[in-house]
Amino acid sequence: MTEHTSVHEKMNRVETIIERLESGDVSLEEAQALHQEGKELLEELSDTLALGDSEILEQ
Amino acid sequence: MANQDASVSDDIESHNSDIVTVETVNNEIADLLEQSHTITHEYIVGDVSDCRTANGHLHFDLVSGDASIHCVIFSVQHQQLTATPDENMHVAVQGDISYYEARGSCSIIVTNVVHMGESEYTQVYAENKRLLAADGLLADSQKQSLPELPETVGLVTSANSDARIDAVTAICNRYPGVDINIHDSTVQGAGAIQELISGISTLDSDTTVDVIIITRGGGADNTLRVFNETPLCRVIANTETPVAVGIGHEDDQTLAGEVADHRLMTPTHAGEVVPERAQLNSELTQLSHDLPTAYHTALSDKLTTTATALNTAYQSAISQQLQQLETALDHAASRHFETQLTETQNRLHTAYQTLEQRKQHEQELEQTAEEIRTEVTAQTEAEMVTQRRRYMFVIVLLILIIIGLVVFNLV
Repeated sequence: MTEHTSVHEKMNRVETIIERLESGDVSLEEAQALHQEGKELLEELSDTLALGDSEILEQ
Repeated sequence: MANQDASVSDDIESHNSDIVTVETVNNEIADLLEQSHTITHEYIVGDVSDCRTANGHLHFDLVSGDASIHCVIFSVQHQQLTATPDENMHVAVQGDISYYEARGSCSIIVTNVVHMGESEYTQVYAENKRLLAADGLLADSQKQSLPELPETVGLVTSANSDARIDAVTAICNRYPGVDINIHDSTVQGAGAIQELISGISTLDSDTTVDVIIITRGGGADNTLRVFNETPLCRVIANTETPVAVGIGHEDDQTLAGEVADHRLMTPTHAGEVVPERAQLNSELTQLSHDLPTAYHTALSDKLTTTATALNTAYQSAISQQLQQLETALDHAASRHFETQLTETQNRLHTAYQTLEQRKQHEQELEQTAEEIRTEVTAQTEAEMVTQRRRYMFVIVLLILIIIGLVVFNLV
């Protein structure tokens, strides 16, 4: 996942991580790594979606 | 300002005696048309545009070049026509020119229609489309994807139009926070094509603009024709920035819409270029809830599995040790029993041997006793025989003595 990965790709990745964690077939180390990756992706998504106040420019 | 207007108004009324109302002018125009004998023609030729039905009457515009006039066929007349006007038809109509005073508009009350082939503009439209297609500008492969989350939307539309308000409202409603860079442009008539191209080019060269929207509201077909011009279509097709075009109403097809990367049905659909923020936020909230839940579930499951495995291993170890102890105990017991059995057997054997010895000894004693008894018996019998003999001898002796005595006595 890079900074330019699309919003939906990141959301899909988080969903995949959640499904992987829910599968039960994951080691403690892998679960910790997946959780960390998911948290970072959610933070990136939150930053991406928060555009601030709208500005209308006239030309 | 109000005082100035009042002053001018007073000035006009005081210095001009010929002041009339709109109603008066319209009535004068109507009278003029009715009295005129110069505006009478057998046929008027033009292209049919903007056909629509209202209250059973058929309305359309008869268009020739940049000129057009409204026509109406009343429902009672409609059934008697040899041809029914339709979009893109080139026709010759007969009828009377009528002036509607209330609106100050002129119409032809059509009594007959002759179909003369395809409209001139239909052929122009087809040729423009063919040229664009030949250059590959209509191909889907040429189209760019719209950005998933544009931060700035460029908007080319007419100033103070409903289309502009609708587009801005739709964008802001779907994703509050998106910046909108608006470039005002004339969207019909002379100068429209240059202003539209200028606006598109300006926004395309602005690197902060992620997507460009070109839009205008509905109108007569001939007012939308600028959006079928090939120079404008080529500019739209060749922008580096993705372009979405929304012209007129849903059923208005323009070549600009076909070469654009995305066609919007109406200006209100401009919101389609941005995602629905509320839905994205909702999905993000759900994921933010699901991720820690899934993580804790995974940890809990893993801990449960580990605890179960630990318990199983412990049970197994204990069971194994118990089994070993049981086996050892069995062996010890066996050895103990074997030892005891051996000892018992030995003791039994010893006892048996002792018993046998005693038995033998007793037999020997018995035999000895028997021998002694036999010997004693024999001795006793011998002594008794001897004794009896003695008694016999004594008796005989006594008898002899007696006899002797008797004899002696006798003697």
